[in-house]
Amino acid sequence: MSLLSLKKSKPSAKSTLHSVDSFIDDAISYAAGKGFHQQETTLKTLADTHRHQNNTIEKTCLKAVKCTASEKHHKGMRHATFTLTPECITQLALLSQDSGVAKSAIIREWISTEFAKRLHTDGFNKKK
Amino acid sequence: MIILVGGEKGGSGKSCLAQNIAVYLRTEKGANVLMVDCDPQRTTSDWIQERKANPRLAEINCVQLYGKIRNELLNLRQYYDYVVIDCGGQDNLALRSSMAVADHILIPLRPKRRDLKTVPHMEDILSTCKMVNPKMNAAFVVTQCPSLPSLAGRILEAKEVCRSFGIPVLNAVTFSRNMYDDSEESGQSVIESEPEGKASHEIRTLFEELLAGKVEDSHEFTQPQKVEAVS
Repeated sequence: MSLLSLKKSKPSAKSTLHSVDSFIDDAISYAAGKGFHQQETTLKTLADTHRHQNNTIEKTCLKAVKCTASEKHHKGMRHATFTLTPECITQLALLSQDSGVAKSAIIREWISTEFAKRLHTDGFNKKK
Repeated sequence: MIILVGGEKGGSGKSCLAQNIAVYLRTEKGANVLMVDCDPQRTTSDWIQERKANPRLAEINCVQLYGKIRNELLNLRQYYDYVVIDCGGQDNLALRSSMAVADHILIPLRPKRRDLKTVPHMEDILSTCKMVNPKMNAAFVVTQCPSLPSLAGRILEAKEVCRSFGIPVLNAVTFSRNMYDDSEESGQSVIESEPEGKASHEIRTLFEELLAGKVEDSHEFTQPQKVEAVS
């Protein structure tokens, strides 16, 4: 039997990435048999099944799941304080408002991009 | 330079390739090489122990690292010409950490249906990894190929399947040879057991082809190449 039936037949999903750490951490969800997106879909499908039986309970459950997911998301993070000019604060707020992305998420993404760039240009250690 | 030999499929010859590449770099390039064994099976660590028992063999050091090893690898890279990583057959933290910092990634696959079924997931990981490590050069290599001429078509088909996912595939392949197994048993590589043998030639060819791979500073893989149909 030919192996050619295994050739790519559907377009790949567009990759989305927030940081190097999230790329590495995705291995954990994969090992658990589900990606974050997959997990969300599964939960929603289950919720749909139960909707006809008990709408109220299902909504409460979904809220609880979302809360847990949100708590998990913030678990590996720490508060940090930086000094910014009023201009920077306004610009950051505008960026956040315009993109719908949280201010801290914008900063994290910027750090991750700059860090990756630096790693593959001069490196950190050579500069010391 | 960090060279990762990894992938999701077990038994495709990752440890064997990593070990032979390390010896090639140490003995024929005179490089300072460190092996990193990320496989809990300790195949490479045990092989290094075998080597150390034989004073005639060039010394190669090995460390075992598991989990999130990105910073450790970046640190080790400063002290060695080449860090060769042998990463076990599963998508785990060590594999992804290594991919995020590797200069070259070699993914061995046998020309078998079960091995090729891991290609879509590897494409997903590599595509995402390109965003954090745009200078990485990744390629599949078809290993343990059958030497029967009647089965040559399967090797071409396996390459075509890999190419259809837009990931480069090396022209060089390795064939299923007892020499790989025999040399490993005594802590040697094929390059030491039979320097002029066919297996040694395969290792040299595939590694040089990997290094010659065009490293584009790109956040995406190029579109799949158009290949001729296999009859």
